[in-house]
Amino acid sequence: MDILMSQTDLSKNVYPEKIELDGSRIDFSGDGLIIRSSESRQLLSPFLDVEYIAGKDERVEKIKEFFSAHSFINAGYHIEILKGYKLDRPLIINQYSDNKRSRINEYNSIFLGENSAATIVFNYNAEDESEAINSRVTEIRVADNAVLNIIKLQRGNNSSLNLDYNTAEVHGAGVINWYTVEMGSRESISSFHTELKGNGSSGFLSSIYFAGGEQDFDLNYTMELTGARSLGRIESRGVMKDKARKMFRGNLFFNSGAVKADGSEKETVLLLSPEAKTESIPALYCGEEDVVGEHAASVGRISDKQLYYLMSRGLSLSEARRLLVESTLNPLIEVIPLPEVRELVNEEILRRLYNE
Amino acid sequence: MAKVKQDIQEPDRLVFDLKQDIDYRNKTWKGLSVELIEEISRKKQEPDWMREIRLRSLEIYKSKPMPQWGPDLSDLDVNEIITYIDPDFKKQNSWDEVPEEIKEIFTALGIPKAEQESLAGVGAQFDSEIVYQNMRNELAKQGVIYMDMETALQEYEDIIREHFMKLVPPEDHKFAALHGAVWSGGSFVYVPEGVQVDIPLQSYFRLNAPGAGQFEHTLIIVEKGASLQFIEGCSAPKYSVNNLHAGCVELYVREGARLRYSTIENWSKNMYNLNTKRVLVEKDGLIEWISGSFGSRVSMLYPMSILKGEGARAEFTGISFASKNQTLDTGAKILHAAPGTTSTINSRSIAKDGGKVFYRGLVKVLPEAVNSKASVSCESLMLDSQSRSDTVPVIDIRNDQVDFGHEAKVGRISEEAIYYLMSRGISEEEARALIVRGFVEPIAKEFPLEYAVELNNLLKIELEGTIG
Repeated sequence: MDILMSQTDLSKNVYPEKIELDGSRIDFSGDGLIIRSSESRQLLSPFLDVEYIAGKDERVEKIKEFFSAHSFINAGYHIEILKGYKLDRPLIINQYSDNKRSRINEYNSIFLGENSAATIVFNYNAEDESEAINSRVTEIRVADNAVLNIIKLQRGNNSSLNLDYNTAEVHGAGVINWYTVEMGSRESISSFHTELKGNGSSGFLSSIYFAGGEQDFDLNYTMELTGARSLGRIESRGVMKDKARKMFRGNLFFNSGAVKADGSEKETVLLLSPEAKTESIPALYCGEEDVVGEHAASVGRISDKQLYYLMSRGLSLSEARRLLVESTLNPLIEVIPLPEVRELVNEEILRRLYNE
Repeated sequence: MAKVKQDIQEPDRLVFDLKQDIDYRNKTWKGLSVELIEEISRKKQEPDWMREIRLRSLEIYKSKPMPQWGPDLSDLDVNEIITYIDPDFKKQNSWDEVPEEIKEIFTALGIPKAEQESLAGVGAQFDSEIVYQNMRNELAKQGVIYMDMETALQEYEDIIREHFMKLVPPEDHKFAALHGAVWSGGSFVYVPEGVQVDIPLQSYFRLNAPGAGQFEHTLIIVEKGASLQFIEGCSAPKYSVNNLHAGCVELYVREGARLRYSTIENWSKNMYNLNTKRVLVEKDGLIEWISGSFGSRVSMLYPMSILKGEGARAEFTGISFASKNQTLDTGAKILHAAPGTTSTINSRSIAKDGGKVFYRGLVKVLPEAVNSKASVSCESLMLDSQSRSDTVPVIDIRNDQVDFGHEAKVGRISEEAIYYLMSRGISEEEARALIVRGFVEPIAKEFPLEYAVELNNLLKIELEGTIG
């Protein structure tokens, strides 16, 4: 089997600064870590939350269509971190579309054993402007006391379609932290479904997006609190300009038995154009009495007052706008655990704000 | 501290459960047919256009599917529902002439007493027909019209024709179509320009017959600069068969006018309450919805406000209390269609004994509705874990000159709060009751006084298992 890795030779069990994979085939098994290229196989779970998504429409059907097409998986990895093993460097997976790879069917499965830890970055980008259809499925299982940070950066080109489905189960006192950054693709439909099964399990989902031009984002975030004392947080912050459209569906489920569970979801949107369209459904489903649940959403604009104030302090109009955009997104950019990703996101936002 | 579960009993429905054996003059057949519609229309001596609306609605009803979302309606068989009945009595405008059997019920419900004390006018509908309607003379002198829909259709045909089922067309959904086909009874209110009706008018709807449907139509027009308060009360005794209420409310609030529309719904727990309410608010007009949902087996009720004129405002204040075997799927819809429009939604719900409350709402801001403001607040309280409380607010914003805020909370009575109150010498039971009352207080204070008292009594009864 041909093993291709950029910058890294895992077979020697010597880890450099980063472990970086470029999407090529790999079959590695080393101290505490297994990475294998995904092959066509039956998916693990039957995509639970499609049924939960409020207000089904044709977009959801598109995701379903992909489900039936999973038999020709041509990208993705199976990643396993064994019990007690802590990956102290991030694992970065770069996935590019170009005119030769315009139909990506990616399947990832990630298992974290007890007391293990890892930070995994999926960096989705496009090499050229050719139209691509990127379908992705990622299934995750986090065992007791394990901690997984998972960062997903989506920067497909403006003629592509991105379908990204993620599902995670968290057992025992495991923790999953999602950081999703959506900036690319003409149309992106992404879904993150986390079930906090373990007593004392936690899930955090931070979602940042910047939509401009005629981009269309459909963002679905579901957090199911099943375990006692489980803790779930969804927070989304986004900026929209031009004729961009966005749908946010945040679903917080408190299942029966989730005593003393604590869940919240929060959404903040900043609109920079009168033609941008934003829809939100921050839903709360509660079947357990002894819980604390909250959701909040706010949609705002840059008020003349704010601009006037900043400009009276000597800032130009464009600097003032930039400051307000940054202040909207920063609370979530700051918490991304890798400095180089934070930097990348900041740069990308500025580039998109000024349409460079 | 040991957690003490509350033992909450079914509320006292004694008054509402009074049943009367009434001779039904025209207890027409079950289900729906062209012959039935023709018969209703003929009996009511309706103009042709109304008969045509009915027949067209029937066609639409047959072609529409049942709603594919929301609560389970599989137990509801419209073919088993008696769609039109009327008791063997003519409408009266003197209380003394209302037949004893019916009078007894309305007296027990406190209607005539309320009329004397705090209302400007009262209408009472028994099953399909209005049996009593009266309004203070001074209002009539100012040109205020308050009458049952059938009489209005005879006397003010042009106004009715211009407005009837224009806001809620039969195409809207299956039960709007059903309503259009078999509607009967309801109230028509017209408040002329500049007239202020300070004391509320009230219509009370009573569904007495088992297995029957009530399909009253309410049409209110508040002209430029005028104001009105309208109260709607609903109840029915409990039978073992399902009853259906598919009323329709169409409200027109003209420029600078104000309307406060309050509903206290305490249907019995075999009722499917599938009601449609809609208002069109013009420039600087104000609609205030006050809505209390306590009864029924299934409710699907989402009053809609269309803010058509610049500066129009809508305020929705609602409370739902679902207990055993109840699914209360309620909410509000607001459409901001003009610049500078404002809306506020404030909803509280309580679920206990396996009851289900569902807040389902929509706030939509169209591109032309610049400088609009909207805020939504939903809170729910779960009294046990057999119950469910779900919140699905849809927010759809299509311009950037908008301020929108939404927040929702779900939870239980916090132990800290109870502990704090107990440390101040209040017993645990009292503390719990105090917290529940505090939870509904912001809503309760919006209710008309006599209903606020009723609401408090209801809560007291609900919580009595723990008090004393």
